[in-house]
Amino acid sequence: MQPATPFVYYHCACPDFFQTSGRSVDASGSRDAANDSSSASDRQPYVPFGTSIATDTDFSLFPLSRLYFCEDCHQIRCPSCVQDEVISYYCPNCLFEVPTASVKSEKNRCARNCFQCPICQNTLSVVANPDIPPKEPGSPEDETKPSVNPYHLFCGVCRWDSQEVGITFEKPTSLAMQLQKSEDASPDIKEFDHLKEHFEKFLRYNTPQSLPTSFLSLSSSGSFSKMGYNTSMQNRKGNVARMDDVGEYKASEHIPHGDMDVMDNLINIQEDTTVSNLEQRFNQVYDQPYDTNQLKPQRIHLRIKRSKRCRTCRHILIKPEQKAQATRFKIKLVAMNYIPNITMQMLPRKTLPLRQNVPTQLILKFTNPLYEEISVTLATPQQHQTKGDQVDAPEDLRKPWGRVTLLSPHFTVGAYNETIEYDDELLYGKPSALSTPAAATWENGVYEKRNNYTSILIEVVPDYEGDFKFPLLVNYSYKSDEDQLDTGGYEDEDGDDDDDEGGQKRSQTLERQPEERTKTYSFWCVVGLGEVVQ
Amino acid sequence: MSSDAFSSSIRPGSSSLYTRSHSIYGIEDRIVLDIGSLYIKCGFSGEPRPRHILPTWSRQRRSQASDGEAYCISSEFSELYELDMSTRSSSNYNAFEQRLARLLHDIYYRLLLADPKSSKVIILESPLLPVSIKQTIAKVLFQKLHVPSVSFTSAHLLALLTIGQTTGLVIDCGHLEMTVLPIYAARPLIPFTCSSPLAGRAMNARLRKLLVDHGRLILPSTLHRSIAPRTHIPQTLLTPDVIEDIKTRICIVSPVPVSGDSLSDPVDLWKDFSAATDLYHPIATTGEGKSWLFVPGWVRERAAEVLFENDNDDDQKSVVEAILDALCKVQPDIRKPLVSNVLLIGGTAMLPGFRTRLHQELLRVMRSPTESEKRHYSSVLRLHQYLTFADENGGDVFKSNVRAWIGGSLAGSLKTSGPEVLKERWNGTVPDWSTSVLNVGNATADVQH
Repeated sequence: MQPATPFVYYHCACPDFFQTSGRSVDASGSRDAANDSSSASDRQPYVPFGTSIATDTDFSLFPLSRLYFCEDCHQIRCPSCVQDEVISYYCPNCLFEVPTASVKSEKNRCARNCFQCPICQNTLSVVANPDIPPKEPGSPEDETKPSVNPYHLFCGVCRWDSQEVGITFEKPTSLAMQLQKSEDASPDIKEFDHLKEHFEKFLRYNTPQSLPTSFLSLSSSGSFSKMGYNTSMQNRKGNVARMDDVGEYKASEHIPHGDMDVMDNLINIQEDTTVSNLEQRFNQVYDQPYDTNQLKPQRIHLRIKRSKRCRTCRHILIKPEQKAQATRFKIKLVAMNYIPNITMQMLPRKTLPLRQNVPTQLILKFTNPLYEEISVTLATPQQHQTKGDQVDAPEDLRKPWGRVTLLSPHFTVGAYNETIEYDDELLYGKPSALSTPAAATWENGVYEKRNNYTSILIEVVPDYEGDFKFPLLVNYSYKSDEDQLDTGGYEDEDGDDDDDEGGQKRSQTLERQPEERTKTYSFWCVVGLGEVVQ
Repeated sequence: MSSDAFSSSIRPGSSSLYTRSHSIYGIEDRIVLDIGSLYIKCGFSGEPRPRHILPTWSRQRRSQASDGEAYCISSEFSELYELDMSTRSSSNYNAFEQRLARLLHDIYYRLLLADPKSSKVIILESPLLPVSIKQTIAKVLFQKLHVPSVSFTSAHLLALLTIGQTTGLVIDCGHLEMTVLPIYAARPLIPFTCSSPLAGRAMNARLRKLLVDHGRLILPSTLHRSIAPRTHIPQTLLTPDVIEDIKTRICIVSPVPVSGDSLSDPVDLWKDFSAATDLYHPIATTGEGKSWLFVPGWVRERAAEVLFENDNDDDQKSVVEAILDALCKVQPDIRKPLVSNVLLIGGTAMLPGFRTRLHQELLRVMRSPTESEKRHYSSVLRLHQYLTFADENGGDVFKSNVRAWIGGSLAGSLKTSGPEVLKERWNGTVPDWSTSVLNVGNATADVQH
């Protein structure tokens, strides 16, 4: 396992699902589900606890590149709390856009020429056998010669050949059609249809005309009521053909259990290269052969393009183009364009890894994507070791992770301006009107303030070995001069909050100012600094 | 030949029997999910096989390293849930819920490519599945995916449908536990369930122990592997997915039972009475060259013995004991139809030789029981003359690990299922035999009220 690299992950509280007031704000108006005893619906305000955050499996932490931002709700949305809708289906190999009717009839697989290797699941290519001439369309059928087809499939990665399993093709196109007959002849399909007929007969006799109550629903709820339901007990006399139980059934297909043959085979092998593994077997569910020689190529599975929607206000956040080849988006409301991007930098002449109990200073750089100047306030939660906290956290991991000091908890970041990228002086620059002189103002904790980013200093003292992570509450506000009808702001109670009440968000009605209003937003993020050594 | 009454539309151009019973818009199809602790079988009703079998630990993790980030990495082999969920802390509960939510999202949007809002869902359940797990499944489906309705149906009963019967003794050998459930005339006789933890996971533990004790590791060297130096296998090398790989590929169930007395070490007996050849399993270790795991033949043949060991312990019954116990519990008049229709389902039952060995062991106990067995099972021993495995008829048409799913698909296509919970009427609870009261329509219930 490689040591963890430094990162900054943002937390999405998924407020649609977890409202502490107990009312689900799901826009479809579903019933209040918080009345039940399960406490999972009543999530407490989130306060992450340093080392206990398992960032590789904590599903509420995301890098900035994965988050979306809903303008109307003025909130972060993560992939788990947006609603997906299908836009189009396409084959990842041939990039052909498949119409919806074909998708269902072909069972979500490509109906053209795309197959995947049964051994390594890579795409197969169609190869012509140079020795066999392709069939002339007008030539007479030669009865004496067995039909040898010139085309077959070949895997470029593991060098598997479809001739090994006896699959060859007459023409190099519409391969799926050529294999259709053998797919349909599978015995489990016939047996399934036979079973269906058998049970339909039984249900026809036993289901009263009024309600199609099923024999399954009564029995599985544990009741032992007679199967002939109360209503039909009256017409027992009239209904001659009632069956209390399904009659004898004779299977239409018989395949002898290949168990003992497989076992005889397995008993004598010395290497397991010809034995299939589970992943290969699950690609061929009806058969699940142990022998790799019986694995057949499967058609390639289709993929979908999805659009993503905010659950509360139903606005579309992401809308891709319908064509499979196009990678642009028609609507693209990503969090990168709305919330500050936080990155880290080491001071010159200092290096990672961090050392235990050694104070280290490093730089956090905040980049502002908005066209207005923002003022940022940072906070870290106070660390307790007591048990009486409201948040339920793993018991063994509540020790403080170390000491983090924010040398400048409050600062501003300049506005973004397109000319920044074009003006070399501003970009690389010498100090100009927009930036402050460098080393002299380190005492403010601000390392550098330029263009649309500000770098501040923080000092960390890790207490324990292992991965060092700490949570950070970021609250920023800016003056927006848009005219909006709703009060979109969520305000934190106090900028410098050092206790662990967490990201409580109370919406306040702000005074409506005709021209400009102050919008604030706050979110938690987790900053990881890699390993701590002795 | 197939039932025209139920095929809703004939699609132009497609002449296969298989596709005829689907409607173009898929409104009639229900989605059938068999959520196991290791694998989820998913697909549409009306189809004779599940579309996909998805491992529950796949694509759950993300990683970021100096050379890049990745989002759908398979995490370590781990079960989705445990059978004692109610005693776990709520943070583990949240982890289960989130993991299940991601898996179901993956199933709908990557594998089934279906809109969750348009199809009803049938979930297969085992009688001893904790109610909290069922509630979580319902919660994720209703709140996150907005399915219109969910119905929980007994997996054992559905499996019986695949042999055209509604009476039989169904034995589900899964990963976490093995459950025996007698079913008579489509009624699961839940009070007579027998279950035991001697299933897939127990076999993994036994295999691991045997490999640590008797297997060898051959590190890369210039010598041929039969003469290269061998060392003991370090425990860390035998990760759960290596064990699962070995179990599913090269382990078999020996057709030769050995009966030693309980005092002697069975290992010697196993070594003497096993026919399988030793095997070299390639394994990845750090360093150049190929490493091999030397798996002695008797280890791979006898690792499954744990499933048949009679421990005289009520909590850890062997398969045979569980079957006989269930038969003893049931009323005498229905024992004969039950024993004539014994059905094996579940992934662990797919081990080569399992069926044959189980049949053998059952017959042995019933025909020539030991003293303690005679005492316990005296009432059912003479039923050996009626013992038949139900799938003798159809044979191997449906595989054991998907048989319950296929039954679910059959039920869905016949428009029957367990009690349906509609999204509008869901209030957090799900119907379960342990919490339900007698049906109001029952005549005796009316009299009492």
